Amino acid sequence: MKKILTPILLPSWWQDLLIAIPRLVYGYLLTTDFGAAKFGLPWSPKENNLGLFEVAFWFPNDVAAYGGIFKAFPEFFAWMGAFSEAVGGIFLLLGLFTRPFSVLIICTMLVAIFCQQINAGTWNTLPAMGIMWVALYTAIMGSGRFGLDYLITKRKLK
Amino acid sequence: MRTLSLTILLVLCIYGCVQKTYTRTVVYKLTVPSTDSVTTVSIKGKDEPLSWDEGKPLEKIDSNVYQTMVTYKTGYLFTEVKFVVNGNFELENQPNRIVNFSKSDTTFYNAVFGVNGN
Repeated sequence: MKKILTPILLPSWWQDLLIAIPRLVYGYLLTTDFGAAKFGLPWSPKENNLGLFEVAFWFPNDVAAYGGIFKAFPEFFAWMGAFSEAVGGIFLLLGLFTRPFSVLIICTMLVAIFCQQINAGTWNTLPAMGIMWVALYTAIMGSGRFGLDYLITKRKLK
Repeated sequence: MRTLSLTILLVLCIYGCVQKTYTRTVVYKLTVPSTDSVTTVSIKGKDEPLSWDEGKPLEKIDSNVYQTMVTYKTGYLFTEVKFVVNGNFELENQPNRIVNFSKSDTTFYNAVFGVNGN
């Protein structure tokens, strides 16, 4: 577990700070905007009428339309996709369990790119692709100095 | 065995965690200012069975009053719509009409073309 959490640190703290900015921005956007609209969290829009941890009623239908395995288990994949955005965003923001949640977010974004957006043209894949690139480097680097993973593993090392 | 039980529990949790839907019918009644010469009246909206691409026609029920009924299967408490007369959208560059569903099955929504009372 410690191996998964321990971040790779850059030589200077300011380099870690700079590289943390995309992680913090996308973590915040994922949980407050993209994810919260379709996954019930305390800050989800009230008018969306979502219970805690509920996935929006329309999302499994969208997921089923991707076909194949998504059509066989639309509720499961819809829930996992919405969870990875809404809850994964919180963990990305905090820099906690950064690598596992980054992998989950990468999987979700790959589905968004190749099953949902690609038919509308390459330009439309850019938002999901942007999140995927950020999650790709956090999957390798971990949280850096500016995340809870660093604090947890640092304390354990002493 | 333990893994199987956990998997079944997880699957059950996830299946139970999809937002419940209910059926809501809205009767839209639109008054078009009588000075306008009207050929077509329709409604477009955010949620199925409406869409922003294709309008649902309204029937004429009085000299300048038009009506239609839309049944939604939704989990939301509201929907968004706009009316279209003679192919022209109302409330251009303005927010959509917010229609809050009543707790009973049917909501009655009365509107005047181009006037957003919400």
